[in-house]
Amino acid sequence: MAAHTASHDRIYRYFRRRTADAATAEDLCSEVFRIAWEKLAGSGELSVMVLFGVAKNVLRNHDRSASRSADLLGALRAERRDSAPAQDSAVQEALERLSPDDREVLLLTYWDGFTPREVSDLLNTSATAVRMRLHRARKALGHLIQTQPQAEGAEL
Amino acid sequence: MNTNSTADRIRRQLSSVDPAAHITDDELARSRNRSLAAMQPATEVLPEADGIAVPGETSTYPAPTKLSERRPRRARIILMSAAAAAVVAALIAGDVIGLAGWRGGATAQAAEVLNNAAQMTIKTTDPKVLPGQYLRIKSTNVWASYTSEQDGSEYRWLDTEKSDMYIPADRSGEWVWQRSGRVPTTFFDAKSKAYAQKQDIKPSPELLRARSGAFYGGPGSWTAADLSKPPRDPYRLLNSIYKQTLGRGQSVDGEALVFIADLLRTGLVPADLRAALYKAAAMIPGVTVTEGQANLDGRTGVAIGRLEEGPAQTRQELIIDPKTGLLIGERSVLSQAQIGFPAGTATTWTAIETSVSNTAP
Repeated sequence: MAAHTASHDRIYRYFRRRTADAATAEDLCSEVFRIAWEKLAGSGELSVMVLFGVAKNVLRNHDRSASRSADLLGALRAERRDSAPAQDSAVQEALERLSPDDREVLLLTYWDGFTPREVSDLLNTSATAVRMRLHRARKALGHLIQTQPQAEGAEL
Repeated sequence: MNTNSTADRIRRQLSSVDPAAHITDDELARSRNRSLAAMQPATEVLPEADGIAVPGETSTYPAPTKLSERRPRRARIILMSAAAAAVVAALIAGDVIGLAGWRGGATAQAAEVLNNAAQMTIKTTDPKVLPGQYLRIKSTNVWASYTSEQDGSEYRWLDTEKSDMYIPADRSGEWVWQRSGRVPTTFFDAKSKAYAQKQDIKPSPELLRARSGAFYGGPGSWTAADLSKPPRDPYRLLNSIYKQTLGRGQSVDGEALVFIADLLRTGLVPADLRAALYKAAAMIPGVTVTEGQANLDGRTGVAIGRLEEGPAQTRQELIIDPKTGLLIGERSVLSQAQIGFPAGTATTWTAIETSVSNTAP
């Protein structure tokens, strides 16, 4: 229960960012907690990272016919239609042009608030690879939105 | 912090296009309630290191549903005092001496049905799954949905999901799982029906494939369970079940029967263990014939169950075909009205059918 309190909102936002609508995010979110509860309840306290591991798999299995990046782009477009001011569309287009892997690292970092170490755990890759992708994605994004790329901040 | 740094600039730009930036509290609260309701305490008992570990019953079959997390009456209550628990814990340190057997057992009528079913089961041989073939487990699953809005209004209904799982002869091979997705099917009041329709809950059918049954990336608990391990001697089997479920649920005996039902409904239990589980159920105090002609998913059998007298007021039942000894399914029935579900509602049930298939979807 404590795990739910601590993680629900983050996980819900994670799905909301990567699926088409609130109903889908809600479905997947409840699936995560159902699985976590049933499968993992006996194995000690559920950490946020364990729950996100489940969330990642639930997302991967979600509607196999539609690719996840299509979903993500769909969510971005929907958002843009709804509310985004014109200058934001440059960012969205830039995001769409990133490679899916680079984009995911970038978004896990900035939207979902994971540290590079957490991102590497979640994606089963090395922290070095994550830092490289992040560096690449930031640089590409910087170019794509046509602003002066600056020295890479190391504060992440 | 240097606001001109790339990281900070990108952070600002990305947050301006974050689809989750404008999520309302209502939206979050709705999802929070729903995922809380998805957490089902009855399954706490399942994963265990020794004896029986119930295989991935988790994802295939709904466990007895928690109706509402916020309803204090439904909280799990351990009825034993610490001293009593210590005595019991000492008793069940092994499975040879334990809780089984000396506190009475099922009623004579229930024991007869169970023991007959066990006799028939032990004589049957399970259909052999040859290389290239699949064990097919078809099931209909129903469970309760309950939700409440911030204005205090409450809604409830039953959802149904059809599930069809194909397990290869070589269990490390690719498993295939067809799920219909949950669909609201039974309503008890017009208000809830209108609410569910307004939510526009669409089933999301899934066709999943996973080696070793590791659907949803899980640890493959389906295969992790070694069903050759639990004792086939019913007395020792029941003690090992008590040992694993002690302290969970509302009563030791109720929880033991829930455990047996959970295991049986996976459809994976070999004949000799099924027979032993029936016999073990016959040794549980309070187990009785609860309905002579119980209909589950169109099939009729004898319902053997046990009423949980505590706050739950729920009857856990196994439905057995008395002619063949086959398990038709299991269900959990409310013995009194609760949060808008009428008395007699089966808030969770699973009907299963196993066969051997030459092909998988």
